[in-house]
Amino acid sequence: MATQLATHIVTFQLNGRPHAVTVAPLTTLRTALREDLHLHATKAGCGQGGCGSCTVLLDNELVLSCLVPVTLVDGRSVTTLEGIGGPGRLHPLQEAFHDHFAAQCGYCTAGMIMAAKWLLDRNPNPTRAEIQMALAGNLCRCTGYVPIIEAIEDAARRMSKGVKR
Amino acid sequence: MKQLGIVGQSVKRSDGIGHVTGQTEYVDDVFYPGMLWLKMVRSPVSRGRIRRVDTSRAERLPGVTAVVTAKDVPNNWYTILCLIGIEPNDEPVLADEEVMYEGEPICAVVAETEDIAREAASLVKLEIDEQEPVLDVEYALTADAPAIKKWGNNTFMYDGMNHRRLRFGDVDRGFEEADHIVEGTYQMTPIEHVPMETHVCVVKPEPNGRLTIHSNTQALYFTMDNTAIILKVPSNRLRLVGGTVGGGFGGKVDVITEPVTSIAAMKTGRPVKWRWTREEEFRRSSVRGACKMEYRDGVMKDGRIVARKVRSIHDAGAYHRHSPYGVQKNMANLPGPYSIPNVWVDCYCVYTNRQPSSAMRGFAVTEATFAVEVQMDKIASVIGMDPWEIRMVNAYRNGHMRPVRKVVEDATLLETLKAAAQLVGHELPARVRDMHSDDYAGVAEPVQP
Amino acid sequence: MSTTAFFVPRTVEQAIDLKREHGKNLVVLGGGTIVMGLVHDGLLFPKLAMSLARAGMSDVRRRDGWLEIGAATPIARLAALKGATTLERAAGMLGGPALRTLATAGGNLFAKAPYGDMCVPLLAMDAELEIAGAGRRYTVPLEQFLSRRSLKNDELVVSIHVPKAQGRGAYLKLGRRQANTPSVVAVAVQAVLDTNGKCTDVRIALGAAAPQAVRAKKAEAVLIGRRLEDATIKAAAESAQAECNPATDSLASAWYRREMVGVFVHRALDELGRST
Repeated sequence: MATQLATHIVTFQLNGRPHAVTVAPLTTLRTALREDLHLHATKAGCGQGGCGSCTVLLDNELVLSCLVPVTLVDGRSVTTLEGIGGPGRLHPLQEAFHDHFAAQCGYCTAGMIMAAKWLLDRNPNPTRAEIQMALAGNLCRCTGYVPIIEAIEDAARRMSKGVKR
Repeated sequence: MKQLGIVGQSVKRSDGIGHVTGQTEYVDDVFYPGMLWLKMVRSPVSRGRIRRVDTSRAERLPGVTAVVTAKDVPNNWYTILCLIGIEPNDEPVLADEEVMYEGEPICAVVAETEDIAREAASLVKLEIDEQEPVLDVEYALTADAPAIKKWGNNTFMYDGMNHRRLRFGDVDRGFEEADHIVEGTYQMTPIEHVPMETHVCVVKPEPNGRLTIHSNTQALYFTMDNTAIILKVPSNRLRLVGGTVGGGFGGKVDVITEPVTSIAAMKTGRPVKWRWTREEEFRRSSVRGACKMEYRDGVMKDGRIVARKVRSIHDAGAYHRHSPYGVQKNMANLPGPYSIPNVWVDCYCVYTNRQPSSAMRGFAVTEATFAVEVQMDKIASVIGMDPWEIRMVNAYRNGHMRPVRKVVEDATLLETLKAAAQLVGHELPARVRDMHSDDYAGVAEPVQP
Repeated sequence: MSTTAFFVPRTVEQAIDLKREHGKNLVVLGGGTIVMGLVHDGLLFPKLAMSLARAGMSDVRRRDGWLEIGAATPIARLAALKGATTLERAAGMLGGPALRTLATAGGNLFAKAPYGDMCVPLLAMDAELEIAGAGRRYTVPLEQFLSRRSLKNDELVVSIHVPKAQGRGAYLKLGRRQANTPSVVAVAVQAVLDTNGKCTDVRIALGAAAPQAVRAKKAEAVLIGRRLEDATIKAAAESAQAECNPATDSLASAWYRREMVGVFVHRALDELGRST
């Protein structure tokens, strides 16, 4: 049994590279990412699993990092927005979000793009309804959902044409 | 045509790459070594007198570094609009004698981690003698209701009156002339802005005695002024750092996090972060206030509105914040963008023991617009007229005097309605088809006061 | 001080040992979607916590026509089952995709109204819970469990046993938006009709219509021995509306929930009557 008393070390693959964090029991993945590893793309919107701002991929599955004790991530693989592309090497989803004005205040954007990536990894050519359902757990309050959905449709087209990935 | 550089071009957002790569820095992304976390202890009741605030158990919790109470606030008045004469001061930064709404801040705890701060907040013992709360605006206006304001009633006083008045022409004569009287009451519930980013503030005491204040306020200089007044320091002691706001919509113009976070930083000599929970954002931040608007209109058979009388009641919640100003804007817009020769408006800014209301997208103008336009549809329906026609017949033109004694100079209502009708494929009745904002034919002549 | 230990047992037995040792002081996480929210809002301060994610309770097995769902099975797994039952339908409508990855079948049994949608189809399908304690295992009907939701200090719900669905099923949920929403009301119906179309067996379950998911037994009685015709359906819907006990919360008023129980029981029975 893994009994994690007081502060302990958790190691996991983060955006393709091994990382270790020293955390207190019940520290969430979100807190570990933001406060220990200083990857700030993943946002704290509600801490209730209700808004999707903290959405990341855990072993390629979509999770809310505010609800996952990082202890349970030990030995697993985490992907955040920083892991799929950055300035000068944008992922097609990031390009499309930029081109379609799909990020107004930007606070929901990391979660939106991670949910979209999860969808496109499984379904490279989704319908509008499938996109809507994939984004069901991600709230946006200022951009509006239409540009976000259009950006994902466009990204799917770009990716299916073999544009860099 | 000359190719313009910006006009007519689609220009990418300058912050777009930052947003889509997660590199944009928000206030919650600011961390300092040794940074402490702040949590607020809030009133569990809607109205009561504070007998005792016992912080001893919280202070004994390992990791707790400070407690901030009303005694620590140099000038314990939240003075948001004192600079434009919204007085007298009514809201303490931290409550000391009485609490006026559920969730009112009473004391802050500061600790090494967010978890410890949260637990410490739960250990503060409050002894409050609960009093009968006033929760309904109509009740608040009756003589039976307890007066919750020190000046002896439950309304903001506008130039010595308990409501804001607008008088234009002679409404009684207008109603006598009218072919129809159309009445309607319109209400809106409170609305929360729900920005994806909750309120966050980080304050770092600098070696030179200044405070660096990272805030996601929508109003940086406003925040500097008000924080300086509350801290009783010259504003050159405060370095305000704003930046990208993760959604505001008017919900982040109250100076609601910076003073207490600054006091905590001064008291501990260390950087302090205060990030609101989603529940605090929903239930404790200002909302768009509930509003009730009662219309009585006198209308001629040809659609002209000849008299409009409105009573509007605005639920400010427990304190001023931006509400008295919002009610003034509500008053100015209740007649709508229409030329009506006789107008009478009474607007009440009413205090209740509810979550304070404040700014949100258009203050109380949106409420007025909602009520006016539903009322216009109702008039159209009552007299059997096309709802576009009723608006165009009454639309204000350039040169018309508005009831607030301002001459219209930039009317575009008729042009906008015509363009909108075309876009949705609505065929306008012949008599309004050619109307425009510089033409008075067949409608009210410019009205002089 | 904050949480002092977080246990991740590798077997059910280890989990039960921890429960026996620490009893009510031990906060149990299925997927953490309920507990972590309470922690973040300062409503729960676990000194000791335990996750069931690695305790070998995350399998779905078929045995003798029954479906055995490990208590730590993610809702997403249930949504992906290929049995075309109301269970999958309810699972697919619970939360958003990321929440479904984390939330578990067992954890959802402990969610308070208006959450806890999974109990609704499970009640309609007459599910049983397998409970394990130190040196004992037993099953209890879900309905009985929900009425008290009490476990002894050393006990855990380890799996949910669902009998093979008999007859036809329907599941409908009303929220304030089309997805990722708690229920205004949720309705599940499982009914067996004979060759004449007469109802020989039926269970109607309601979510968000009482403090926990409940059966609408008077409405069921209206249907037994009758064909699903308009007048009968209307009478059953009215009965369900009368016998439920909904609460007012930020999603909906008790009055509105009661009205919607009538509407959605009506719609669910209509759907059953039409399906073949």
